[in-house]
Amino acid sequence: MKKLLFLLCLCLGLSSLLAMPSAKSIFYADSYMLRAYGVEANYWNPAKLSKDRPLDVWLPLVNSAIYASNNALDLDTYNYFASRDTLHSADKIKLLDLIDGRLRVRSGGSISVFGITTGNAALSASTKHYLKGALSEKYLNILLYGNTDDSYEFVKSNTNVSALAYTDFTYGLGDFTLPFIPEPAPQVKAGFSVSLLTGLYSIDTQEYSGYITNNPDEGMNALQEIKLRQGMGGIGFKGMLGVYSELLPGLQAGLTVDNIAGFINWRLKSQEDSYTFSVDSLYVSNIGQDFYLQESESYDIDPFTTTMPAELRLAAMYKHKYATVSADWVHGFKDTATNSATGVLSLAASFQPIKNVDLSWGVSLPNSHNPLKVSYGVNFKDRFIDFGLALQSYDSAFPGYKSKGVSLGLSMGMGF
Amino acid sequence: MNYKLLILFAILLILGACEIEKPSLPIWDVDLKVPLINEHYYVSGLVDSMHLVVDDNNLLYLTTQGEAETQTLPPVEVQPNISANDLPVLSNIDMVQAIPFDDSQDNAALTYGEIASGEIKIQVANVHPDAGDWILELRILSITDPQGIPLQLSYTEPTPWQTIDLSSHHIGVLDSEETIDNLDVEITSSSALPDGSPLAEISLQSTTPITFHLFQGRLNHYEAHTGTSTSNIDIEYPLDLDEAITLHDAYIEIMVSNQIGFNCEFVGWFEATRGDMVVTIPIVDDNGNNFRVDASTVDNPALLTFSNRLSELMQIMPDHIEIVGGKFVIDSSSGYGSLRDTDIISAQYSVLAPFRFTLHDKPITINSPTKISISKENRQRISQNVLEAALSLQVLNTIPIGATAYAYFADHDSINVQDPTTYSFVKQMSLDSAQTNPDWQELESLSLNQAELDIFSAPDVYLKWVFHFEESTGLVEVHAGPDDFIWLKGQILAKLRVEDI
Repeated sequence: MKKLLFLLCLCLGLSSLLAMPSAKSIFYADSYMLRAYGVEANYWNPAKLSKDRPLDVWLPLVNSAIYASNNALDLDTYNYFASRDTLHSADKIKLLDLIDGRLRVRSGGSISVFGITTGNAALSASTKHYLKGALSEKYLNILLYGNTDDSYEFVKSNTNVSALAYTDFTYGLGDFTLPFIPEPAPQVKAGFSVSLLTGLYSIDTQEYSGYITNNPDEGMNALQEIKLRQGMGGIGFKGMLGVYSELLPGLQAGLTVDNIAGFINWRLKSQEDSYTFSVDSLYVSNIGQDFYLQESESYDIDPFTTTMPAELRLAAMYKHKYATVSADWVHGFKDTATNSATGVLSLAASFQPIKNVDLSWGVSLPNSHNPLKVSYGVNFKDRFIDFGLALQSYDSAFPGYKSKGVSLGLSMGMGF
Repeated sequence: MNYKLLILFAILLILGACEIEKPSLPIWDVDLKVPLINEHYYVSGLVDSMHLVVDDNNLLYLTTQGEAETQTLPPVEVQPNISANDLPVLSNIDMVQAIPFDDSQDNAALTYGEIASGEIKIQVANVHPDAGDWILELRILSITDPQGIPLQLSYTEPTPWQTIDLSSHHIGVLDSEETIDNLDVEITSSSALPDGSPLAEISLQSTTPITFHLFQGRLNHYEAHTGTSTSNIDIEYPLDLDEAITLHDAYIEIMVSNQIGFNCEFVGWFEATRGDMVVTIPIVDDNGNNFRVDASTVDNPALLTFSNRLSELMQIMPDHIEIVGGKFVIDSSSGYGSLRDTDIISAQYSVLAPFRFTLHDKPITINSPTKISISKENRQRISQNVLEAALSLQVLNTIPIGATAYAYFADHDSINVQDPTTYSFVKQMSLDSAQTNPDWQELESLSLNQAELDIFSAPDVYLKWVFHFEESTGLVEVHAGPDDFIWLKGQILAKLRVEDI
């Protein structure tokens, strides 16, 4: 287990991970909208809160997920570099090729607080935190090769950090049949959920710029400026609308819009921190004790609002007797700590090899902003209890030496 | 439930089966470029207004100063040789006698004098036996006390030779240009003898010189010698520069402050020495005549510019110059003047040698090695982390001097540049003169390899410099204007090993 934990710590962050409303989505690589039920449906598609479902209860902590990944290093690569006594030129090239412009890291987690459903209504709470950051490849280039170039420029898109943590209290109602749909057209079920958000903390990079120039005419000049905005103790809201329909026997399709009017307004504490480091026309011949200027300043600012851009999700699922396949397409409208503006397609399959045991497999297809994610899960379910464990690998079909990150999902619910 | 646990165990095994290396920092090498310098070194920066100065055309001069001052002036003497014997004194008759007052040496013509020393002898004899109570009064009208009262003597009885001290008396009238040829002596008497009868005989003599605190008049010849203790110029050429250059021009400016009220002639020689070599030249003007200094120019010192044949003096690059046989002479052409025994003539003189010279390929060795102390921490860093180091330097040289510098490194201070066993290694850098290369010059990289860097593991490293000037084909002239500089810029290039830095 130590190695497992170490692996989690090692792979700090991930290149991109869309919103992770619950632990169970890890089982299916986020192709989960039409699979969710009970309390899970409160976050994935409230339309699926069904009067026909038994009472479903979330226990504290046991529906949790954690993830960490990066865009460059897999375990194999880590082992390679950790075992090297000396880094040669080929090693440096290899490492920088892997970085691809910037080292991106992401981590986060979701922890259940409580949840309960009664008929087509659900009330739940969970805590979520997200952290993502990027560090320009140029820093690593300097670290590995030295300052061989005359100038280096750093921009915010390649070097930044942001974090967000909040607890939601979500109430959802579903299983509404949309009127005016003539028979025999498939009926459409609808639902909605509203979330009261209590912000725990927020950090985002407002400004970042930097350069290092180095030549005999002007000496060494360097500037690193970063301005971070922080908030603590916020209050906010978000809404979700969802519909689905069984188009054919066993075939369902659905649509959700999440983060409707989503925001958190940070009121308890809001401040900006600016940090500046500069070196002006430095030459060894005139170097002194104060050859650099280092300034940091923190000041309170007016309360500010973190918006949570809306996110559209389309899904389809076909269920056979012992197997289910699904596909989800999710598209955010803005890149934030919680969302990605690049659409992602996820596919999942599950089957029941033996009674009460579901095995799941999912894949989130890669694109320019998101890595390949492949999930494996096992879930035990009987009349009263639903327990599962899932593991997700980044940029590798199988969890192992080629993974650049992992997600772990632990799911446990009780039904009555 | 066993199979469920088995599945769970299998998942954990997937992760647990991965071997994860213990994290350790590998070693790698990085190249660092650190700007070292970007400076203009102006020739004018050398100007210290003391030893290096510039003229109106920004030509650089090497200068050094000396002083000469007359010794305590010898007293002006007048030897009048007064001898007026047995002058008859007639009873009850007043009379005035003019007694000749000439310098027996024919050197001084006195118009006024404040006597420092001198005497006159007087004798009263052959008094008539029937004179009864008699009195004889003598007043030397030309000799007065400081209040202007003439020297007066009274006699009532015969007196053998009596010496009268004339010190602190004055002779003549202040600032009168009329030469004193005679002493006017007024004699009055009273006795019982009939008027006009011979009463006595009086004699005056002065055979010893009279000296003066203040002499006014004319002198035919008078010499005031300069001292020797303050009139030397010792020239210290930095870095044995005298070995590598030959100055072509030099002149001396002499500022003379004369307190003597006479026009003087200056007589003397400059003597330059360098080891056993001695060059002596007379101090004369361009026409070969001695310089003359006007009278009493204390508030307006005379400036004598002396350049004739001085280049001959500088050819040996002397390390010592002094005035020998220096004296100020008052002569008949000096005319009327005054001289006080406390007067001095001082001369401040400057040797000015323009930087107009010939350069020779003669090594200049800095005798004292530069000591570079390296802390233990830095020694370890250099030893462990520095693989190579180099200086990348560019130079723009606008002055007409080029040179090659040799840096000899050793871990001891006994570096003999002729003996390779006494130093660890030597590096050289060449800089062309502006005439040879007016553009930016890339200096040969001063690079140190690992073996050469090992020397810096010693606590003290010694560096000895040797310079070879680029031999000039003609005269080189160094100016110190705004366009005369060496612009040096460069950076340190180092290959570092990242290992426990």
